[in-house]
Amino acid sequence: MSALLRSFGRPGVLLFAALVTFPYALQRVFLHTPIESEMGTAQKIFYFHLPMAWGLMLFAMISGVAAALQLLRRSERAEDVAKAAGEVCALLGIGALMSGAIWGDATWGTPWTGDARLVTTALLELVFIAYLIVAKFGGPMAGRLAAALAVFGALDVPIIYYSVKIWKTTHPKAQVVQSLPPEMWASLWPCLFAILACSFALFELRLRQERVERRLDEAWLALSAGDAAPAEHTALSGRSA
Amino acid sequence: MNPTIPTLTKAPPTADQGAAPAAAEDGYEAVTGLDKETVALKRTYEAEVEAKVASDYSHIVWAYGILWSLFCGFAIVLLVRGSRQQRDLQALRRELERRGEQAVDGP
Repeated sequence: MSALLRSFGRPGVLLFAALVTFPYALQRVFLHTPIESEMGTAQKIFYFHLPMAWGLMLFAMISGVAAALQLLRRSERAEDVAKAAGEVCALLGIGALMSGAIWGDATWGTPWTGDARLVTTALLELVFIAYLIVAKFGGPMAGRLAAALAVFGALDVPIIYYSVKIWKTTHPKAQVVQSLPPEMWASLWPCLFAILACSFALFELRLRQERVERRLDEAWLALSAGDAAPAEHTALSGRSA
Repeated sequence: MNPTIPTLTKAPPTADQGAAPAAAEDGYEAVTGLDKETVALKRTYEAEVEAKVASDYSHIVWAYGILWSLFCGFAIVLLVRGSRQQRDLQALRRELERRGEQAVDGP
């Protein structure tokens, strides 16, 4: 088993951990966690909605900081991190917004309100989708413009966090999480672990692909310029993904 | 919530409100149960709770299904990208081998 896990590398270990944790988390949520008195059974969406939202903010910050480094130091490594984190951020954002809408439909009677927390989260999602579109289709000179978008998106994270404190919102306040009873926390931890392990595994896989893509491009360029020997070395050293 | 299900306007009576009459002197004891109104109220209450729980579970299934479908979808995208890169790498190797052979054979 350990040899198998080693052959898949760190993403494989993380995915395996998520795969093991997910059924445990599910049985904890449905069999060992009390039904919340006000919202009823629908509150169980919370156990995966919250980790998605936290993951969204975490990966937005990772992408934003990496994009800032890309801008300041012209680092290609930072650009790869920013892109990979940006994709995972967009994925988690869709998950958080959709699960939130479904939960809202069950408890508020409507999937969407003009609530500050919802609007700022949707804004973050749109900024990162714009970032990915510009980075992919913007051409060779669009990398820095895309990075600026990612930095702008990361600046939205503190606004999302404080939105429930600054404005009157329908969305529960941050203190609600702190005041959860111990049995709800005991169910939240495995859910959080499963989502974050899965997210980091996908992030690392995407990051490796981004690096391989860059090396392959460099190798083809070098080859077309007639400089085959260093291209071979570069391409073959980066084919491990 | 299902709009056709009537909601309770008062709490269902407790069991001791429909207390059984005292046993007859000849030993005969009539079987007594809840009156029809109480039964109807309890069934209404049960239907209301059942509809709420069914609706909640339907929402939960959708939410959990979408979340894990997103992860699976992204993993598939990564797999497709990975296999495309492998093909690209093979093409690069073939090109390098071809050029190496050309260099050995000479112009």
